[in-house]
Amino acid sequence: MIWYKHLLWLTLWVLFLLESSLMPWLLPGSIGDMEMTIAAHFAFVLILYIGIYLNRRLAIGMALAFGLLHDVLFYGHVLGAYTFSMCLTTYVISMLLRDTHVSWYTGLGSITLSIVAFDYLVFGLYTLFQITSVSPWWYLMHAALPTLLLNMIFASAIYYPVIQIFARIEKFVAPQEAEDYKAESP
Amino acid sequence: MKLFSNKRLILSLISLIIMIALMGVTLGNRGTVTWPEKMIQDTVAWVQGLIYKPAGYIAGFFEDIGNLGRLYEENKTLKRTLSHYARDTARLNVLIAENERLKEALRFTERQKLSDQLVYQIARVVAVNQDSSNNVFKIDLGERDGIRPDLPVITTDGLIGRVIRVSEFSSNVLMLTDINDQSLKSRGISVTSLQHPDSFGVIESYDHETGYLIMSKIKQEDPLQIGDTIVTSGLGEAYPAGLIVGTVVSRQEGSFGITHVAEIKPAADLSMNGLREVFVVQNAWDVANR
Repeated sequence: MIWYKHLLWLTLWVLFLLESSLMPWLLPGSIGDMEMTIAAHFAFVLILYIGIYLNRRLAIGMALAFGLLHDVLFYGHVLGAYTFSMCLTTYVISMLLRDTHVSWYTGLGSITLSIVAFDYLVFGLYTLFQITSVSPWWYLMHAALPTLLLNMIFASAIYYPVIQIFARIEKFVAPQEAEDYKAESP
Repeated sequence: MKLFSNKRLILSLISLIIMIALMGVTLGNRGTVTWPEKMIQDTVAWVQGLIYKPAGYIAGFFEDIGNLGRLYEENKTLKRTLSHYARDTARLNVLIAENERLKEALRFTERQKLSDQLVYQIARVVAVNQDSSNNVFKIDLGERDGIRPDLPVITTDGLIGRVIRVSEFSSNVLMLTDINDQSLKSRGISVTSLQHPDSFGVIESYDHETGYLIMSKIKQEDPLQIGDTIVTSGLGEAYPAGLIVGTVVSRQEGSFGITHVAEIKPAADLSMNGLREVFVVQNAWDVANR
């Protein structure tokens, strides 16, 4: 019984679509006369929640799939920057927090760290391949901080519903899944 | 706590190598587009369009309400420009007729005549990537509509980018803001001034801090002046002549003192916000021989 996984994939797909088609209409391109790029990483935030609270392997698979999808869809300079950064960040953060009880401040704190790390990984890769030559400080003020702000608002907004749904999944579905797994393997 | 076990360490190192190799191989233009990539591009672009376009209409409705107050002033200005326009058209018609006659007299070939004419294909934007270093948006025209890589893309105000990747029914457009003289794969645009057609320069980079394009390789004795309108010169063959890029805001000596460098204020809004329709520009000869 893995219906919840299908549901998670579907939710991620919808979030992924909204990032590039709905959010550009809602976000400002500049505040005052300061140009800034606010990127919505909603699918990535949900993947982080899954990695921290639910299922590490599933989360890494999702990071791989959606990172690659993003790279292929918006291929401008290079393939693989998003795939690499999403996978690495999801892996490291979910490995660090495995086997620990994650309280709300650890959870949201690690998501904050992950988003900044992800942004700077992508930026670092672009700098490495000489695609961009803006300074990291400029990037922080005009892209990384506004992006972090938006995504943390989103992450805090979905914190409660996500935690409750995940708790239900763990309580009702995961034990059954474990039994199925035992029955399958000798 | 151990972050990596031995097996995992090897596995992650291998995937690290694969990822970096993938990035190295796909850097810049990769030539042909494979069919799985095309399929994903087209399918997702269609779904994105289903959300982007209606959201644009709703956003446009609220914008229109905001603009109601300014309508009277705008109408007055437009009427004034219209009278200028009528006068200019009369003059332009005479010039066109003369140009045609001279071309005929000089035995211009059909190809030469057609490559001076531009065809503007309207394309609707279906999705925008919000990433400050990879400014790409998707349009709903593709290979089937005669779109090729490297075609210039403009709005009604001026040049905003070029087509970078084409699949059957959709294509990716790279913004002008991603032009960068540090990058090996970036391409400059050869430009000239509308007021001083002898002027020559190349737009090679974009200054993110000021929001100006940098035009370099200008000779010291070049007639370029502050306030000039900058248009593409057509010398690079990639961009046809006459597309508006922006206006000159400053001109100073370059870093080596041999040539001059000018800052160009882009005519079009390069922030990608509220993009609805753009035009893909081709010359008439290419369209006729598609």
